[in-house]
Amino acid sequence: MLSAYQRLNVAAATSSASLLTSACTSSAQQQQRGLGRRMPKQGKPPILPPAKKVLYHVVHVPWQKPEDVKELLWRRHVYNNAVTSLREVFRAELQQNAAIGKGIESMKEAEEKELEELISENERRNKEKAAARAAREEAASRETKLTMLNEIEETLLKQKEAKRKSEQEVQAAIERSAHFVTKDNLETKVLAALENPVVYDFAIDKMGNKFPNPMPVKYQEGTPTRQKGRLYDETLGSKITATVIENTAEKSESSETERANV
Amino acid sequence: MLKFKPLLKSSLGSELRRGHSAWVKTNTSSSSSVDVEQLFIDDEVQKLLTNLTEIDLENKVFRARRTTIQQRSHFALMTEERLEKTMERMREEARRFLQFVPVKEPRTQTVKVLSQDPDLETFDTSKFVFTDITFDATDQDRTVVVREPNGLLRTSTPEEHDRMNRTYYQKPNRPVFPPSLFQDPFLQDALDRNEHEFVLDWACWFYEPDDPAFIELSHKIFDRINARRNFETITSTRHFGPFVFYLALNENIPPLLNHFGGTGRIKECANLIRLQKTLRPDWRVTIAKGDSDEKIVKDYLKQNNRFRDELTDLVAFLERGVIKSKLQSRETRTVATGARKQATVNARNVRGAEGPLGNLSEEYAVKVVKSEGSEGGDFEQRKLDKTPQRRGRWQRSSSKPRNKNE
Amino acid sequence: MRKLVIPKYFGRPSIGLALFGCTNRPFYHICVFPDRALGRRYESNILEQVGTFDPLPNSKNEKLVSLNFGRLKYWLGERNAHVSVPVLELLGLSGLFPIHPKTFVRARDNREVLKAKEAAAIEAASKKEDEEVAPEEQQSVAAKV
Repeated sequence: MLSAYQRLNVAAATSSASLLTSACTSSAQQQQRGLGRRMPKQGKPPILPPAKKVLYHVVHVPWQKPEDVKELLWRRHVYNNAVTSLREVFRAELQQNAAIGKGIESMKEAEEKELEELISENERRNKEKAAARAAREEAASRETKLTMLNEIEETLLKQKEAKRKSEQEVQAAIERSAHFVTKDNLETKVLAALENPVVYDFAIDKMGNKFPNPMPVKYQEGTPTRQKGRLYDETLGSKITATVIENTAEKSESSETERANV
Repeated sequence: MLKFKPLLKSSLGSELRRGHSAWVKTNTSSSSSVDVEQLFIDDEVQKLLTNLTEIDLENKVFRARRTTIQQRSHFALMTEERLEKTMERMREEARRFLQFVPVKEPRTQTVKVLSQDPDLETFDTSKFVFTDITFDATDQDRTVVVREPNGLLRTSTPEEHDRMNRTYYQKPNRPVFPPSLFQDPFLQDALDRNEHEFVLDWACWFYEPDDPAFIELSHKIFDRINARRNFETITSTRHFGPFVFYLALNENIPPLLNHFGGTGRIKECANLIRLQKTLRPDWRVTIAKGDSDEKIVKDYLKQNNRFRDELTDLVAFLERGVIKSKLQSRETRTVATGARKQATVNARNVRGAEGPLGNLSEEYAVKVVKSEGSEGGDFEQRKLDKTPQRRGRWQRSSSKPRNKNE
Repeated sequence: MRKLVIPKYFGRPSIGLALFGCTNRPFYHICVFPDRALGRRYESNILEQVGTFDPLPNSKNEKLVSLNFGRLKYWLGERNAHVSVPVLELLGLSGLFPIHPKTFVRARDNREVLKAKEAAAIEAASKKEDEEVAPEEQQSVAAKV
């Protein structure tokens, strides 16, 4: 053990993996061989002769009673005869059983047959189930196919519709493009626009009446005012809008003058 | 390869014991020369018995039982249609569970002497029992012989035969000697706890159906049920068929009839009377073909005026339409189920028997110390555990006040 | 010289009791052993177990024996097995074989022992009676005197 350990250490020192493993195996073999000291077996060493007590020991079987012996004589005779014939009987019985199909062999055969039957029955049922499953799966797959086709058709229709719509849009855009402003007609367009100004700065009521404020003018004269007065005082849509505006303007002017005076 | 072999013995035996049947008690008036086994497997009788056995899925057949198999209850969300289907399937399974225990005549107790040898007397102080353990012998046709100390070789009694079967072919919960549950002080104990079904089930597993001991035991239990009138314990079990059969065969149906009448089940009453009249045909009182259920019952009452004071509930139902024992039975059932369901512990029932201490609350005073109020203000502020109580035997240990502040 | 044979199929098997109990609890298996000519070394190669024998009577005073009669017939008839005397006695009691002669002898011995015991008991009882009677007589004699 110790030497093996040393060798192990040596192997580790050389740091070679192959050496290490070889050292391990060699130590295991040594242990298996059992070179260590063992206890001797119990009992007499086989080389010595038997002890005198054993050698000269005589077993004294007690004598049977004479009447027992006498009785046993004929009984044994009868018994042995009966046993011999019974053995014959058993053999004949076994052979007969085997002949009429009740013996071990026939039992094995019957068992095998039964097993075969069971297996075939099982296979039959498996096949039945497999057929049923196949039919079921086929129906299911057909149904899925149908639904998928329907879905595809629906999406195609949708796409067609979308295409049609976008085409229309494009057509409309092309139509509209006749009135577009380009470099060539820029001057005329500008002039036309100046001639026909469009002002969206108006209020509208439910009836559709438009109330521009201030009233649009074709040509702006002078600098436009920065503030158009206090607009919130006006009630849009009323007839007096303009006057109200004027009044307020006057009032504000007067108040300002007052303030200046103060 | 334990193949089922046709038993010639039984057919021979039935002819031998045609004289007197163990299922017919001697105190009844009619002649006892009936073949009970044949009567029981008769189609008409079987149909009547199946109709009489109600199928109570939730409270009886599939109720919670103590078994060695650990199972969790399974919950499922179902559509109406599927629920219906599932219930139908469970009912089908219950019908399989409720297959009747066979009614058979007891095996003969007489033994056959195989050989008698006076020279062999006192060859040993004890009996020798020899059992054939041949591979293909079944429990029924196994050879068991006994050599008595006086040299007599005989076949075994049914008790010895079955005991040897139990010794050499063990099954779980089938010990060699009959458990003491089948003897009287313990049997009466179990019956007092309404565990008829358990006892009968175990007996059915332990004994063969044609064992004399089994038949005697089942008769004992049936008689006690009939005497105590607690038919609820055995309805909707697989023993109800034989029980009704036994009662009808002995013309002892008035208590059960009264029970059915009390719950207002006129159809069952009529079936029961039909069953008795099939088992004990009497040309003086027969049922006409087109008779309605009510007419059958009324005719029976007319013919058996002597049982009138036993049939008070039935009479009350027939005359006034009073369903008396239905209320009672419902009450008892709710009590029985309610005992298991425990309410949460609150201020009202803390000190009572429904509280965490249970029956011990009579001996010990329950002291409740509030934690928020800080009345005591010391370290032993305790708060009652307000989780809902568990069921069964765990309720006591789990619902004790727990020291939360520690 | 050891022979290279398969013990199972060699020669004439023997049927006997194999002690399978533990301390203070005898229990036997009735086993088929290989040919005895192979020596005791092969006794541990049990070919087949054909039964059991429980020599301690149970609470109902029964000694239980189980025998696989089908296989026994095979070993006895087909293989011409040698059977040991205790097993022959058991077979005799079971009714498969005629009763073994030793059973008869033992039965008679037991009967004789029982008879002797009974006789001794009767003698002891009569002696006791004599002793009881004798002092009474003396007393009566003394009273007369």
